[in-house]
Amino acid sequence: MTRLRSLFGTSTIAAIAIAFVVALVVPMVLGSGWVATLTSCALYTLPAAGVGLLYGELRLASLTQIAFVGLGGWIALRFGIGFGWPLPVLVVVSAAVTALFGAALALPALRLRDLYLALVTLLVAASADVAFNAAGFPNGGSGFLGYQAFGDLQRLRRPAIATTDDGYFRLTVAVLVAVLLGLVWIRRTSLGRSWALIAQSEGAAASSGIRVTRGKVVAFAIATGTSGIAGALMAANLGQLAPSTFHVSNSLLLFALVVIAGSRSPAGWVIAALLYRAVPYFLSERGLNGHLATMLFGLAVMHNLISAPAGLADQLAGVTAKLRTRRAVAP
Amino acid sequence: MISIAELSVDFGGVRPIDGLTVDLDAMVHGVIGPNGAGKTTLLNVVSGFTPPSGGSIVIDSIDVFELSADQRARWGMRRTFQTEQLVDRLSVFDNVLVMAETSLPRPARHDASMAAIEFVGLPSASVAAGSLNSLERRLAELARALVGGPKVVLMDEPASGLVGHETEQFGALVQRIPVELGAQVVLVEHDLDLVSTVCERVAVLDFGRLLAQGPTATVLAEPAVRAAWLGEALT
Repeated sequence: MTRLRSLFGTSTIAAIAIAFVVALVVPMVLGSGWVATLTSCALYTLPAAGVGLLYGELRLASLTQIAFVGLGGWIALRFGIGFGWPLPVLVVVSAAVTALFGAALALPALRLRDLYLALVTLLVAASADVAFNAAGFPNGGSGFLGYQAFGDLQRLRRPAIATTDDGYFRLTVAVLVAVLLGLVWIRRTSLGRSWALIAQSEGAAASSGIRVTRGKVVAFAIATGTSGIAGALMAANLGQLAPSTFHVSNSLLLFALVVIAGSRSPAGWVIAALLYRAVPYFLSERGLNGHLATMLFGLAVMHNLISAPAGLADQLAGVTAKLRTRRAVAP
Repeated sequence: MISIAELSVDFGGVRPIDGLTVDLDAMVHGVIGPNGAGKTTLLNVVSGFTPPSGGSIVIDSIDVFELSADQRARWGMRRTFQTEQLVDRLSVFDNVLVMAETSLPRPARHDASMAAIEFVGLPSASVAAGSLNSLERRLAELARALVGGPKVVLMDEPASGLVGHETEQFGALVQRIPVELGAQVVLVEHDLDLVSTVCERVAVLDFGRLLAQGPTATVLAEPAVRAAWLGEALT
């Protein structure tokens, strides 16, 4: 436990404990609709973490995360349905291939900065959107694309250990915790320190011997790799994917939500995913249009600019700290 | 020794360094000049941030233009900045460790980082850089520059933001660098008291050209230098 604490910090250990309690309790107390929604939240925390890694650590605005979820899903469907590969292999292959695509995108894109980098990644996401609509997602068809419009439309199966919705929710939370631990650990390594200095000043980083471009490319690869994992898990969860899930506007929305919720904090990534999936579900469950959430997010951005520039997670941590101090000084 | 020959830099129609030829040959060598003389641009070219339009820079028989900025740092060329560049949320130790991680084998990094922090006299390695005062921030950045066997340390106005006794303390530290670490120091500075105290020799730039070079006291007394620096009339 002491070693775990020194590797990840006390708050992370507490967060892991909370995640395990949630994974255990949620399926027992909530209905199937909420279990499915929270599974989706756990999945979307992965691309949110990728956005957070790039923006929180390096101030790089990438708007391709959802497109890479789609790419990861496409790969998982292609190899899962076409060759019957098991889910763990599909997750690893999807992560590796999306990471390679991410690195390939990063090499030319990182010559640009700020708005121009955001625009280039947005156009890449738009191109992926067009490609998904043109090619479709593999469903047992023949040829390289593996897509068929009619006939015996096949679905990717869940693994034997998680065939039920409850089981798959727990599996997704377990994978999420493992990935988030990995990201938290990376931030404490030499790579994480080099990102911190690159974000501070690329000149200072280079004059400290850091290969700035390599550091950024690796960050891009890791961020897109997390999206690949999400895509593979999503494909196995739903069995089939639709291009509309990966519309370019979703990448924009997720980016905005990560900024609102807190790009540097794993809690912020989780909150972003809850805002992205759970809030619209909550509204629609009460007979309201789920798209109202987008208007609420607009207000949240304004709130973020005025009173919580480091995000909602940071603001919540501040409130918790204040309450603790009050309790400590109370007679 | 840093040998600069016919060095020029062009920014569009502006030429901040114009055919500069100078040997920075003292172990603590000052570079002074009025604003716009090309001092920071010179450091940027030497450290690899600004490409030259012509000329050469050779240090210890190595043509530095064959190395990228990060390669120069790993070779032993270090740099501090006008506005010191520390990551506030990292500890002093982690800020210094970054340099050790690029220049030293893993087993040596911890001790070398601690040694650099001790060398500059910072009392604690574990505090966040964001909690340091102006002098401590300068010292922490200098500690990062001194990790892992530096050969040349380029300092860009390190005394800016420091008050009198802090500048003296910093100057004393600068003088220890060649003696104890064997590294050459190039000091770009406006504070002439600091330059007079620590620099054996000084080069004066004006409009990107060498106006004068020699022992510090002699150069600072030259009428041409005083005219360029203080605006005194030449008689």
